[in-house]
Amino acid sequence: MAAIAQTAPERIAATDAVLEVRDLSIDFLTPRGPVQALRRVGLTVPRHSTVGVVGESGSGKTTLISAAIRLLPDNAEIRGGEVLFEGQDILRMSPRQLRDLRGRRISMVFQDPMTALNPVLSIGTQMVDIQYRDKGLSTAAKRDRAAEMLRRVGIPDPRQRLDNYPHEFSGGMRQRIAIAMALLGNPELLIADEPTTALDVTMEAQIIHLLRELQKDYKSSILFISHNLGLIAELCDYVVILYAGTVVEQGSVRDVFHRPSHPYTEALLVCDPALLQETTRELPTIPGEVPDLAPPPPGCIFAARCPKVFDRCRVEDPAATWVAEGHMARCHLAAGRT
Amino acid sequence: MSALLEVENLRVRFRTMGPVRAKLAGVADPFLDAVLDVSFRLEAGTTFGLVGESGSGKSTLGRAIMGLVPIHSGRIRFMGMEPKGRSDRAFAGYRRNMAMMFQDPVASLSPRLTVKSLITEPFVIHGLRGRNLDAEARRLLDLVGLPSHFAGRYPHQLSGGQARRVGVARALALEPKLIIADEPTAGLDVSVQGEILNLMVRLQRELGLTYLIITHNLAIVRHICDAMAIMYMGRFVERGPTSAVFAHPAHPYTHGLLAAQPHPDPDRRRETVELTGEVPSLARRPSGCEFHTRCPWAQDRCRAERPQPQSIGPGRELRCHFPLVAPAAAAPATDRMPFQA
Amino acid sequence: MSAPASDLVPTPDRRAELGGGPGVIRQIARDPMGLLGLTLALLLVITGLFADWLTPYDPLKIDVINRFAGPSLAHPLGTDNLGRDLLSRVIAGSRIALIVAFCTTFLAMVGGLVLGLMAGYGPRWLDNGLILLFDAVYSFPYIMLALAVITLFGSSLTMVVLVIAITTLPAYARLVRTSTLSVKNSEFVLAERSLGAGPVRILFRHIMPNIIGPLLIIVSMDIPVVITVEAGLSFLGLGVPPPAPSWGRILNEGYSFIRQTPWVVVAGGLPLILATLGFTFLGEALRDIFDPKLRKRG
Repeated sequence: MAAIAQTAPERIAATDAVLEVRDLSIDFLTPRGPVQALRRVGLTVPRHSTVGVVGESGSGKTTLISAAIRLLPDNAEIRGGEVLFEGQDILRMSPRQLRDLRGRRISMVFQDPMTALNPVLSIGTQMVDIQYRDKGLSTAAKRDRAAEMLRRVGIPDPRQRLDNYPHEFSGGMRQRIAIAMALLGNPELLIADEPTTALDVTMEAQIIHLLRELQKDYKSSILFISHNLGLIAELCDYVVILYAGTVVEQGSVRDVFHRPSHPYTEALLVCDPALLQETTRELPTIPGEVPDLAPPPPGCIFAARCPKVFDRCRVEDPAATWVAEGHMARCHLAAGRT
Repeated sequence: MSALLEVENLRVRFRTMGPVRAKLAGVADPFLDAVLDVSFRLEAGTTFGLVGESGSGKSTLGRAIMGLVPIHSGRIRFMGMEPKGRSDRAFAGYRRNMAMMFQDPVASLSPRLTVKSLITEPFVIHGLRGRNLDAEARRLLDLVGLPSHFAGRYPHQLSGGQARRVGVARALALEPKLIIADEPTAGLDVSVQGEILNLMVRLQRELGLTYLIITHNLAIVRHICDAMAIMYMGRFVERGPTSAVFAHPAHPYTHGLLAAQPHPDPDRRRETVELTGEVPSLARRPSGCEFHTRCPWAQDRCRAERPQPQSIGPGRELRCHFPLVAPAAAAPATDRMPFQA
Repeated sequence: MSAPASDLVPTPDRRAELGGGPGVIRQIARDPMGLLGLTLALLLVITGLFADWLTPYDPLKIDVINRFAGPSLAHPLGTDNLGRDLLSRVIAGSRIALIVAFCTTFLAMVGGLVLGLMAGYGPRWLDNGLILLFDAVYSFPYIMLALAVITLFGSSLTMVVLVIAITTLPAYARLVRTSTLSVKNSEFVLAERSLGAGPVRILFRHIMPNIIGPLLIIVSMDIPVVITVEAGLSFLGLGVPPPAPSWGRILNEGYSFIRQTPWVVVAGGLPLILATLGFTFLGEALRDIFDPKLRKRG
């Protein structure tokens, strides 16, 4: 694989960043050989902002966030790079430091709220438990905080409902509770992995709206993973487009959605049926499949499916090109443009 | 003229507890109504979209039409046939012309069978053993655009899109007239969901199929369905030609659903959310119009009186006391009328 | 196009799960305990099958003059109270152990499978009735049942096999029933119903192959248990009648004469230990292969 020439470190904005992923490469060791799940991925989550990661299946988005909290599976091997949280490298922290970080300074909301909720404990018990680090607070005070948090995320009768169990709530409510638990520690970074994929569209709209408000109120940053472009446009300030383990484009949401500079981004926008003005019986698609990453093909990772591919693409891996201030695309065409 | 499928006042109930327990607990009616008073007709060669969120009863309706769940009351007539009785045998002849595609493409394939066994199973089940199963398998795989070497694969070796194609191939085995597709694009990436939809449309053209598509994805309904119905808590709240419904949604729920669709344009962010709250539990149905608890335009009459279906234009029907559209404006945008009211 | 594109996180080797024969043996061979277990199990099977040819002496031949002899070249394990060669008795006993182990578990497995499938898939009343039956038999101590059966029908190898099979069956049936209940509502069963498949087809072609894995594991782990149960019954005098040299019977005899020589007890106990260990290791290796979720991490 040709070395990727970097003109500048991959920063979206030169301002203060809560999370900075630099040059991250992760392999999975499988019986077929090492699978290069992430290759020199870089992204930045500035303070008080929301960054969306768009990735379809096989993009490596799950690996990326697993790396961010260092909960990678046993057969994952970090080939290089750093994940800097407030300047400190998560990949090199001790287990003690990680425990301190998780749930308090970085928290996560998953697609299935039951990942975070213990079915045999009341939610009040759980929400008090996770405040275990606040040794000065009494249990009553912790319950107060929990009830207030529930109220804030829109659970009616929060005080009474502290004694309810997760199964007594609907899916949408459970996700709200999971968000409440994630924000209890007032984290600097909230990682949300497809939090609304399992919800109905009306509930999804409410949760997105809630996240927007909470992000402003609590001044956290959000790293929002989704395959739904519409949600990213609704919620995020910046977006990172991930394809087969490579960041192919990133920038502000306006720049990327209005002036997409990578054929994959363009194709994604075209394929979204919500965006198609004329009704059509022949929906656009991106033909082909995500390439096998054990090992990845030479040249640009998107070459096999790119509608604008030419010879150079199959041979040389494109470098990151800054098509505008804070807007990057990894494409030979984009480089030709600037 | 009779339609391919006619459903009249269909009601499907599920028991929540046994009769003894119900008596002990003092519960008079230990049932949940999943589908209530649903009537519609489906003309051959068209595509009908059944839209709703969870708890709307759309999947149950699809399964009831297939005969996989027993119906409580009402009638289903398919190709002029009405199944007599509830057993699987009563549905056998009727089922030969109808096939279903399930929501989870990999889970709907029996894990220990090869693709070839799976797609030729309908032949074996219906006693058509005389056919050359290898040839049939190849024909079906070809029809859905899968290379013939897939015949030897197992479901866990297929990607979501490939498994869906196998599901389509299996559904096509006995050359059905109607295919009920339950969430055909669920779990598929945006970049590939077009593949399965384009395939379905092409097959419709080539084989003269009729589709009943069950989905919560309004965006695809707009593109490939001729007509649609919106379900809420087991009832049809709005029904009509797709273009007309999208252009002028008449029911507040339809309006809310459309407003809730996120749009991939950062300059079109919504500041407020139109539909708040959640679908009420089926065990505790609201009085009057069941949508009144969430309707931004609810009035007293809505709380007291349940709206009956009313026609508001050619092919359009609505259950609402205060439709958002005046009847004249509810005319379909095209003059294609796939079914009668 | 090889593996599914989204398959970046690898799953355990599924070929074995699909019943690939030679693959399973190879995988067992990789695990040292599994290899040991396989060896011991094979040893038992071969000894049992070829017992008639392997015994140096007639196991029933009485030779009172040489009784209680210690191990020697002529009698590697010594002789018992009636001068019978212990090694020959042990080898002959392995045939009994083999028959009991395999016939019993096979009967129990087939019976449990059929009844469990019926209970899980059939109507409620059938399920309730069968569970009542299972629980009744399950709670009955097998020794009592053995006593009752022997009193009524006299003791024999057939009776022993039947008694143990009947008392083992309910556990299997319950397992199969639970698995069937959970699989019965899966999407693929619904899909098969929608294609018009009848209950028999669904049960045997679709449900059974998907639930038999855990059953096979439990059955293989039960083989050593069954061998021990038979030995126990024989020890109490309720098993195969004398002079059949079941290992439990040898133990029983050795126990009475332990002052004269300890070797009879050794002769009875050692093969029991080896067989039990062997099948246990084999069962665990199989479990690790077929159900990776149960494998210990690390």
